[in-house]
Amino acid sequence: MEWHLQPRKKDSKVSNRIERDSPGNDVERDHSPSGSGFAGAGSVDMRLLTHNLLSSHVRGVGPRGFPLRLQATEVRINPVEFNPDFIVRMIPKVEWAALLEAADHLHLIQVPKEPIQGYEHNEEFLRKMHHVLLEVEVLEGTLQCPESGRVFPISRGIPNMLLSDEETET
Amino acid sequence: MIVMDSNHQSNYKLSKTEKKLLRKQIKARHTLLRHEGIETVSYATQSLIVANGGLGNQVSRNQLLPVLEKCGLVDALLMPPNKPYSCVRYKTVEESKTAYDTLNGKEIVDDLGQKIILYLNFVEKAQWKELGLQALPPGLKVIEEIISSEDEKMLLESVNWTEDTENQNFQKSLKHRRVKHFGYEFHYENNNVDKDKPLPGGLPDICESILEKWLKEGFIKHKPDQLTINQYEPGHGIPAHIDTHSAFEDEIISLSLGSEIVMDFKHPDGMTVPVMLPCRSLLVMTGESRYLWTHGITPRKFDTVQASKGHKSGIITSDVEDLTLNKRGIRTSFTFRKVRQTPCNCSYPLVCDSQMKETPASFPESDKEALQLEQDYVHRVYEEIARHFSSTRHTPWPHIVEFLKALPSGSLVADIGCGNGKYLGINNELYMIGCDHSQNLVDICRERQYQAFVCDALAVPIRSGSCDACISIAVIHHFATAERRVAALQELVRLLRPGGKALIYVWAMEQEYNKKKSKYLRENRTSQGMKEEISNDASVQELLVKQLPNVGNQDSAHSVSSINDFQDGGCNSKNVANSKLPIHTNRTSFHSQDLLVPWHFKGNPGKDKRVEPFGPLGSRDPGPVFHRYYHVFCEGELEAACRTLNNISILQSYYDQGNWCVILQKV
Repeated sequence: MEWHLQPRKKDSKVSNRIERDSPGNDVERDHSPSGSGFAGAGSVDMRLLTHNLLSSHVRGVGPRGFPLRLQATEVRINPVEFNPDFIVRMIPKVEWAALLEAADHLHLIQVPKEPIQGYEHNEEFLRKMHHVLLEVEVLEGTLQCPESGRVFPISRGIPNMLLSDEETET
Repeated sequence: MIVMDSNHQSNYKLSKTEKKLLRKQIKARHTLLRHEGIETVSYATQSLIVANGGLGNQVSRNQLLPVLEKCGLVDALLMPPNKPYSCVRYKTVEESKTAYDTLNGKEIVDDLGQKIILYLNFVEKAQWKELGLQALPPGLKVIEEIISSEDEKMLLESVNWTEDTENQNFQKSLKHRRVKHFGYEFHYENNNVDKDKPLPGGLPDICESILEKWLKEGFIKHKPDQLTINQYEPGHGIPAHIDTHSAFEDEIISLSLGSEIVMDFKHPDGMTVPVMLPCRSLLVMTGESRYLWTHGITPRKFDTVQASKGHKSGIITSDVEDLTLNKRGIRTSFTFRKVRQTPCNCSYPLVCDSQMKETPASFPESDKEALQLEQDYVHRVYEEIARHFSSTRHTPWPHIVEFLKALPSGSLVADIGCGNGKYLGINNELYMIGCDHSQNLVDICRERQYQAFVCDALAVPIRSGSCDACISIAVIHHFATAERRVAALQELVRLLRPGGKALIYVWAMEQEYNKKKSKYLRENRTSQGMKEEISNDASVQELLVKQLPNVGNQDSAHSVSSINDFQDGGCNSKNVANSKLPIHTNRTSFHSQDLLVPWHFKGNPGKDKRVEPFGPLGSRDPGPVFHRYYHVFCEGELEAACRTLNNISILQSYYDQGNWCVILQKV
């Protein structure tokens, strides 16, 4: 039996049933999704910021494999704590055209054609971008390579980008 | 008591006691996951796991229930026997939250008058299978009262236990239980039958007629030709095992006579299902329950059963206050099996001796062979062991944490081969995405609220030059050729923007560096928990479990490959093409760079020092073993591989706890 039912220590502050000392380096971990505070629900599905990074790796397509065409049959809004500094830092890294296209496919509110002047201090703009980049999640849908047409599924919030053996054969 | 839930602000200042409570709560969570496969969630639900409040640690129902009822209406309180936890479901989520808030860290008194502290965590409703809803292992049936009392008496009396030298039905008097074989003799040395030497006489006539009856009535599908009679006195048992695939066909049936007993079925994930086998019942194991789950009988004199159900079959779980101890009597089992004449071709190849034998892993000659090797001995294995693997991977390594925490705020970071997402939440100022080949591991990342997707590390679907940093921790050593390993490094570099950094960790061949033992072996006061982690963890990688020969220890035949052995540039890779890959013995040093490392599920004596105190001599506990392919790196090998890429510079190259590590930067 795994459980060692030891006699109680004198110091009964420490319960030694479930509790066991773990190796010294139990680093205190912040369980929030990266960079954006806490999400409300139990799991987190694909966000548009993540979609903005994804590109088709079908052989031969190279940079023409971006962006992946996003179609969604199930989307949800998952509130995330607003962190303006984080959004400010993200804006330059976003491929804007791809974001516009994805937001359009998901029928989202109008996203500006490009980051507006002085966006660093424009809270309204930042909140809008925060919403679009981090709070819209795709549960079910597809990602399609614009060059080869290959479709990758998004199922239970997880894109499956594995190619078959034939597709990877050299 | 403050509310600790996922909506908590990360910058809320916690007091020392609150921090301590949170830590203990998290530890309870980890332990539940690691040992019981129970996953807790960070949001409020109706159901709670009450750690330390279980029958297994002497907390009775009538002590726990009133405490729980103070917080609200209890829908159900489940107290699984022999477990140090219970599960409570409240009528509403609010009441459950109240319990969570007020009872966490609460002291109660157990049956022996000792003080214990409860720790509560939420669980998903769907995950907790309540009375009757917890399913029997697939393919398992228990048919009650399949024979009459008269027939039972007759069968018991027909067994001649005395030494019969004329008769060639061998009766082996084993250390504990008594055994007799008919049809074919079962050999305990290899857990197989000798198919070329059937025992004369076949099965006893009375058995033949009973079997005919069962066939006709549809209780069984095939006519067995082998019989093993076991007699268990109170205190006897049989270690958990799977009946050898190559020895017997699918359907294995066992008739229980004389006394009922509780038999434990275990799934490789760790799930245990105790099943009551009443007197005169027939246990039928087919499919998954025959090929994948282990079954065993704990050697003890009492079983915990449900009094109200009487001696009825079914799973021992309890939703009512009627758990009682059932004194065991002498139980005789008649186990009928059909000897297999062709190799086994079941759908559980990783635990199948026929299929594992047929495809011995060999050093790959081509990219195609490498791909197949990785498929069989990396990808398939991780999918099978994902949950259990994840439960042993929860302590982030300090240097990696350091690397992540040093990255500028707002960095985009990719974890290629993220496993269970261990590093995805380390620094919440980063936007981290993870990817892994294993769907099951990526599922776990999603549950933990991380961004992750499934892909191949040789073709990462992330746009080039988009990442500020990448990490690849314990991944590249799973690629079977040098070319593929370099290709994996190339992918990492492709993802980086100019100036971006990558951190790579791979398993080292040298398990001792500069005569320094691993941290865990250095510290003599290894705590209980760490011992368990070590003994449960087949992977030397994670906690660096090694048996380093002490000075004067003459037993050790292995010389530890120290750093000096490889001083002269490069390891001697002892493998030639087509040579078989050796299987590594855990906790010893490596003798080959390309090898298979076993992964055992917990409880396997290959891992624990625990010696099985019962059972036939020479019989191991054949729980499922999975082999994972590794190419372990020599000193300098990783660096050299990185240097073949012409657009990088190496910032740091070091050894950390049995790993070779490189930090590189894209120029």
